[in-house]
Amino acid sequence: MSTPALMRLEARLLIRSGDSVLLARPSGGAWHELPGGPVPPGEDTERALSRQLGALAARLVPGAGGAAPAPAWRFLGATEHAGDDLGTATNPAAAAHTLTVLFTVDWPAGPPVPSDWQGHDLVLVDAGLLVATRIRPLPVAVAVRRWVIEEWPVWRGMAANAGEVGRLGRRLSVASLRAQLSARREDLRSSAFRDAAVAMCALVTAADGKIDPAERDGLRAFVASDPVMSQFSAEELEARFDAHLSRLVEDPPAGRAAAIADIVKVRNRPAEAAAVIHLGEVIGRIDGEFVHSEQAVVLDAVHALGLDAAEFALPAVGNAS
Amino acid sequence: MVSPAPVEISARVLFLRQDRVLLANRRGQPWFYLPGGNVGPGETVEAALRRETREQAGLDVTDLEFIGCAEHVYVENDVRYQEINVLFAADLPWGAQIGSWEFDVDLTAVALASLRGLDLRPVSLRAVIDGWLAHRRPTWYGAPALTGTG
Repeated sequence: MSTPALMRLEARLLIRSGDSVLLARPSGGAWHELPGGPVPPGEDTERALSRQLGALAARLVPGAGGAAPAPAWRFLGATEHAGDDLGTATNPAAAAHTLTVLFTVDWPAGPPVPSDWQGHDLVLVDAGLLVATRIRPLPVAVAVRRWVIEEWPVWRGMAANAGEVGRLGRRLSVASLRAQLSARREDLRSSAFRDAAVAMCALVTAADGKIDPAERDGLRAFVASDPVMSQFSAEELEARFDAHLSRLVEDPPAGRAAAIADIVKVRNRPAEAAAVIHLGEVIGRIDGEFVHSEQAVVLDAVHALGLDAAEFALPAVGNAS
Repeated sequence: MVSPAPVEISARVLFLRQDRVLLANRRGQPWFYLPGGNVGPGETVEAALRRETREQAGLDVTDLEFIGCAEHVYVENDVRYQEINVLFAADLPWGAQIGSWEFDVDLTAVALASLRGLDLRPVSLRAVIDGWLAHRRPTWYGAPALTGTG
């Protein structure tokens, strides 16, 4: 076994064009990558990435002197991986332990999207199809998929112990979860989202089998002050919330089924589905501890929506604290 | 002639408790830094952070929240150093004794309101910390020579 090396640094760019993303694929290869590469000693991160973009730089690098001013890059997040091209090693002592700093930019309107980059084919992939698209290394793929849904920078590190590998985020503070939801509020205005969100709130509120009047009042106050929920009519939200709660008290299995039926209204809408889960976590944690029964109902919703629990940093049921 | 040193990856933590944040200060120096340090060979970023905070303050961090990355480039004795700081926030455990485990370092809980007036190094961290405190959104701060905005 050779001595482990220092962590390497890479920088890569997610280029978006309309509803698609631009991915690089070696000719004849099956796996896609983001344009970019290693940051060598002596070169700043963004300068190294600009250089690696080659012919793309004229359109994408601010100040590169292209025909039109290039848009600013946005920070997408950072990931850590080791091992083979896919980055699947769980031991950081494996080869190629790498920190990747990720940025994103929109391809400017007008010029056609080029078809190659540094010996790779450049392909446009519909953002909705990213789940089924092979992107390496895998942690970068996860960060890209999250970005397309939530547009919020993520960290995806190799967890210190193997049991935690695969967790995407870390448990965000309630303030951060709410900031994240608030940033997407323009996309969270549909009646399907409203119905799913109310059902989620009711499920969490009734998770322990009893409903305290204080919890009802707390929810009312939350809905009134929350930047996402206050977009909807308060009367309508309360009526729906109360209807769910009554059902959940009178006939818990039927009440749960009705709530889940409302939640799955956003099943094929990734941004809204993710927001409903985050909202459930906010409601669960806003009054202090996110107890096991509350985590369990949020996890039910994750499954009903066909989402991956690992991506929501919900502790696995069974060892919840 | 300036020669480049290998890029260092470093993990640092903003320990918060209510409206105070934990800063380290080497005795006799007028400036402050965040607990944490370089990622060693064969060590994950988060493992390095946990090791450093245990060694420096005897604190165990549990949930980490990502607050961004800051690049710091400087030249000293004709060597160009480049450091990428991966920054996290964590709640300071309740009841934790705040005290340095290193004889020449002091740890102090400073009011967030007074953070702006302190000499926090590297300076590049400040933009990321300020951005996160204001909007809770993780950000990147690149070496200013390139971005031209610093």
